[in-house]
Amino acid sequence: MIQTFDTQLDVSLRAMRDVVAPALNDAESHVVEQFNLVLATLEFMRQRLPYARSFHRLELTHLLSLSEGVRAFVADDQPALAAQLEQIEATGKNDLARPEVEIEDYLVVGRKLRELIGELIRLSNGKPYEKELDKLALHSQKDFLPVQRAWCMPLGLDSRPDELPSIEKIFADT
Amino acid sequence: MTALSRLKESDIREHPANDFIDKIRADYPTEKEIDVVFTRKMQRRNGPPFQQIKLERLVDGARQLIEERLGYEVGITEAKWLSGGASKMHVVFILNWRGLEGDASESTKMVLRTEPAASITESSRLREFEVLKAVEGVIPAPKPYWIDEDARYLPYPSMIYDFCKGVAKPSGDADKVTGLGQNYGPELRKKLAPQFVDLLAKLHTIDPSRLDLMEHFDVPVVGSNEAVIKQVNYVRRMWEEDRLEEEPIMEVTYKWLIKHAPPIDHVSLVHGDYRNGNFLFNEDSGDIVSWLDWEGSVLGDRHRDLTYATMDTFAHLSEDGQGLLASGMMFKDELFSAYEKASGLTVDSRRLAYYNVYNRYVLLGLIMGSSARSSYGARTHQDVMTNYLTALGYPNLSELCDYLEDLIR
Repeated sequence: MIQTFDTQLDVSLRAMRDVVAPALNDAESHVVEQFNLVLATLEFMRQRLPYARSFHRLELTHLLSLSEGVRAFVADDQPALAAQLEQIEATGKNDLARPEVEIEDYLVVGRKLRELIGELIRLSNGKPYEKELDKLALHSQKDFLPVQRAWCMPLGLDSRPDELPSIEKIFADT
Repeated sequence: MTALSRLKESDIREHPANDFIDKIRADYPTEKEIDVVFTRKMQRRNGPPFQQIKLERLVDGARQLIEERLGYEVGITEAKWLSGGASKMHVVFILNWRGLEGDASESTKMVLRTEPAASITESSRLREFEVLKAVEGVIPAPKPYWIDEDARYLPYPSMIYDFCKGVAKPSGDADKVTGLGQNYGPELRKKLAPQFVDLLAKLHTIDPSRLDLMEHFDVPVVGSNEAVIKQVNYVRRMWEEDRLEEEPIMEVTYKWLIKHAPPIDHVSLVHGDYRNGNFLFNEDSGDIVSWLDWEGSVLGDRHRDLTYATMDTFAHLSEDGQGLLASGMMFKDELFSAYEKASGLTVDSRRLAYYNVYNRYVLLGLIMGSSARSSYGARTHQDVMTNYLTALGYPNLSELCDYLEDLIR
């Protein structure tokens, strides 16, 4: 197959930059604004598509780790929800082990984990372990934020890009 | 079924059931008008898909609205789309009419502001219309003329106000989206910064009798935090209704905001989006000629505007590298000090800490919730913009974490 995503995006972007953009000089400003945003969005895709699978696997791995930590706090107080969480974790681990799984499947299981973790944090209100659980969620999510910010970097909206690792460095081993 | 289909099917918010809508309403009570607007938004999701609205349709609707209100025929010419702003659609046009009394012959440049099917900020045109009436003559702002609050004439609720001449950014700096991190440059800054602070002080100390015009706003009680909790619930409700995926930090933040909600010490008219990029100015004189985007206004705590205007997202580094200029105006401490002097009100560090968290919670609700949802559902005229802005989410989440870590020890 010769129609790689990279080539499709590359030829489209070059045509838009080199041919279409100069022709828009007299266009209404909202047209130019949307055109530039389309360029930025496609350029983001061009830069991130090669890393998409690695990124979503890494994000799911991170969520599984958070989930296990949350489960340890709530197991006695919320046994039914903890069991549910464990079941979703098992699906997630199984997905990571199967090579044919699609990126969107990682997202489906990741979102299920997120919802249940959120629910358990909500239900911890007033419980003796609440503060420690909140701290765990906060620290764990914070640790992963540089990866998420680095992922979005080509869109150019991060005010502190210098403090972030490059995506190449994050996935150097993959 | 593809994995993408499975992902879409797992989203319970795209076509919400009535009991899902009702549960959120019951769990997170908000101001009455906010409840009306948010409920309408959720019900629309089960309606027909958004279709691009033609300019001619809006012009026809605007003409019908104006003629109905005035009782005589008018002409509309030179209508065209207006760029700028990420949440509402704007059409500028010339109204050929006989004035409000019907005894003149005038051509007036006007703006039609209308909602898409969903937007980054779901808000009430009625409230926006009322707040513009309330600030008339006190703060430079668009003069409101007519409102179609229940979309009788136009496809969605809309309002018409006069066109304000001015620019949102210096002509040499046209790259920024909606003025985020706008740098006005040293010369212009000298003229704009004092006005930026003085107008905020004026807004927060506006004659209380003017607030009587704002019938669709809940009025906070001094000494109570009930109104603050409703404002936290406004964001929580947005998050519950709009998010594509849960973020555990948002849950931790909500609990903290509810537990620490400070009582109101002075009822202020709060703009809600007071920052660089949200006002027009005369590039020659440096005069601020109009404050825009009043849709997030509330009656509440002044510290909400103070912390919003000083968020890093809207700041840029000073030329000498000494620090961040809040809203491209002045250093944060200088701004607070100038504000205290201009308003006669105190700036309380504990309330600043609270609203620093609150405003980040708001921004994240808007960006990672409403903005992501509206573009995902193809519901606006500029989904490419609302989608693009979601990239602001993770840097803001990072800032929020830094604040919360200090507060939850």
